[in-house]
Amino acid sequence: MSITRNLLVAALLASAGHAVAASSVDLSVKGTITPRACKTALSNGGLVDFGKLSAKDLRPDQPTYLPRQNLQMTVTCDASTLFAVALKDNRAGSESNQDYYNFGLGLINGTEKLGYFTVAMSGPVADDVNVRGIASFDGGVTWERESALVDDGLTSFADMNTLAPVPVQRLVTDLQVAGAIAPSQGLTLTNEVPLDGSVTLTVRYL
Amino acid sequence: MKHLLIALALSSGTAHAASTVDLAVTGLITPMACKPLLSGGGLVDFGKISRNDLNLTNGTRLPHKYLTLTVNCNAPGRFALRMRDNRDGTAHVNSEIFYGLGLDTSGNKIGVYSVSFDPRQTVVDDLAVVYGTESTTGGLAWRMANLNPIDVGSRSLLGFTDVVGSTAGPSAIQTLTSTLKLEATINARQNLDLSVETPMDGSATLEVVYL
Repeated sequence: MSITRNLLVAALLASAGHAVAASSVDLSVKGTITPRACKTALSNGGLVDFGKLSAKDLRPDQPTYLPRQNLQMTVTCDASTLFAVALKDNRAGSESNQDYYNFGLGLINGTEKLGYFTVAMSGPVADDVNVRGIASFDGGVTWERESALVDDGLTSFADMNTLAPVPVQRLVTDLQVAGAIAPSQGLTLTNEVPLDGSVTLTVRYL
Repeated sequence: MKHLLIALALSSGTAHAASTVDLAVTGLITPMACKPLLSGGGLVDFGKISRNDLNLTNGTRLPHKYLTLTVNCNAPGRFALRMRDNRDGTAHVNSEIFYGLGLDTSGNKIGVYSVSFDPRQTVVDDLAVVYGTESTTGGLAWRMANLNPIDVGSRSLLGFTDVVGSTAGPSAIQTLTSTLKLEATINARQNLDLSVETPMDGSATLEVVYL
């Protein structure tokens, strides 16, 4: 590097002669703490039990669909609140059929995908008014009509004619939980195998 | 790189030659230029958090957030990083690695965040591995370089070298890419007035310091 390209500056420095001129970039850390609070509750303690199934009653080369089970979900807020419900699949990656509304039922021997289940909303009511389910896969920027609770997305509620979340104080909806077992020819069923689905519902404030 | 020095000898007005003292006034403008860039425009958004989800008597840790820093220089050169807090005085823990999230409407300190550099999550030029080092003396002395994560500070300098165990400070680098981990903690709920929507408002400036 040529010495002629170096300019000299008479700047008073405290100690070691390190230049303090700096190239920089800004960092912003944002968020909001809201006084609103909502609680989610599921009937039957959130437990869906498909009971005991015989391995020989499963279809070898096609999925076996289990009888639908019903639950009720209630979201109660201390005031009218814009919110969504986010679902996290605690058995993510174990669903035998990948789709945005399928949740895993666990693995056999650590590798065999036992099946999957879905959770569909039926007749949601917000503060005594019929609403419909909507889902967002971009953190709440855009919404689409969706009656299933979705994995890795947000579920909220809109007027019957729109696709934007509405503020709600008390939301009640029936949930239909449908399960399917993977084709049994791909499963090791010599011992009892538990169906082990687990999903966590969390309220997100919009 | 050579550079010129101006040395001014200032003598006290009355003095003997022996009691003079030299004052050196030096500086350097470097042709080196590095451009730091943060992913997502440098914006980390924790969204909306319910007051009721905050711990009453302890701080509440928020989920970790990650962002990518790239520093592109026009030539290899020695530099370090430092981050200034534009919300200085609003951190409820007093340390140079904790940055403030602003104040609530009653003037209480909302919380803090820190930003961690992990040498294992840092890629420098074509090096297979780099080591982190820090200086609390403005670059006079550097601690032994290793693989431990470093929280960037507002006064310390943070740098990378390809020599493990080196105390010589950062080596010459042209391009650096690092995945930064941001950890935020909200003050205990009992210390805050959260009766209204309260924005978190952290702002910091990450600087490239040329050595």
